[in-house]
Amino acid sequence: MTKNIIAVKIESYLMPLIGELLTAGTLKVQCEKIGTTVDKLNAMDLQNLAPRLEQALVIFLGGDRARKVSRQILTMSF
Amino acid sequence: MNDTKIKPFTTEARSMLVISFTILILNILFYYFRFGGQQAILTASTLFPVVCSLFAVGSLVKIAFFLKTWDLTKAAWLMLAVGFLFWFLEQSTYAVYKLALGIAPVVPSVADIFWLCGIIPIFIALTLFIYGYHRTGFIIGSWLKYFFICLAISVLEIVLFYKLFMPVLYDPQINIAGKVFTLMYPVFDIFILMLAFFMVLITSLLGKGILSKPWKFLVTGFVLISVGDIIYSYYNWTGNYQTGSYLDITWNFGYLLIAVSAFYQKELMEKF
Repeated sequence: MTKNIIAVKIESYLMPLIGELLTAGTLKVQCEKIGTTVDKLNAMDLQNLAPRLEQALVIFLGGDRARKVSRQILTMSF
Repeated sequence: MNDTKIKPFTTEARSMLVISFTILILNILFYYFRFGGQQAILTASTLFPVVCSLFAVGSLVKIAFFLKTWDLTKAAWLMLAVGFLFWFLEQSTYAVYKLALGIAPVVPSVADIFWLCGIIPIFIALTLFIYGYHRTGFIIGSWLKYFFICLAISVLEIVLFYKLFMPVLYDPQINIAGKVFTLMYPVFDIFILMLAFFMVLITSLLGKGILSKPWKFLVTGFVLISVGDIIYSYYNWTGNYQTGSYLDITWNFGYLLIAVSAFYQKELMEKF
């Protein structure tokens, strides 16, 4: 479990949606894809991470709702 | 959604679930006690699927129109709606044959053509769901599990080939069109069953995540419908199927669970 505050916020947001297993796996993989790690995730990275998570949620929520989730994730740096 | 808390599911989807179980229990009780004799059983076994498929098509159309943006998700739910519309027409046609005309339709009938028109968009819809999940980049779990599903489906295919396909193919009393339409049911159902099991694996990865809820009902519905269809094909061929068989319940409850899944999908999206 990471102690990075932004990652913790994202994890606690995604976990009720996609479950523990996928949250951990997805966050790790997507962080790697944007050239960082879960522990080093910072506010700037969210600009790249949020659209990727939005894309991942489209099949479950449709484009509009996935975009809302993405916007919600973008606010997690504050 | 202004905060990061996810609201729990509310009344609409749960009400549909309660209605589904009520219809299921009524269906079981009716078949068990056989109220009103054979004619009543014939009427009930003909009308239950019409009502249940109507629930499915109604709720699927609702969710298809609720999704505003044209994307993979809308396409998948719309395809399901189109498929179930044809299956509702199939069940309604059977009702006209049996109750209004008083005849048992000969394969291939108009009802069979509706069924065929329905299975194609349903097949596309399930494929879109699986493809859509694959595109997410989420983990897909062990390939071994997918391999075992394919293996089990292949074994089922071989068993059906010897027990059903061969006798039907070599039956001189059935014409070519009859053979094609008799065999299309189990053939297509096996593929639907395979896709449904793939979705079961995917859904299991989502654990208790609320995004999995609509899919859980959806795949359970499809497994019930496909298994029911495959068993029916065999029973019908061997002459063991009787009107008012408990087997009907698999389709009826399957249709209702599809309706429940659409309700949960709509409620899920309303949370955001």
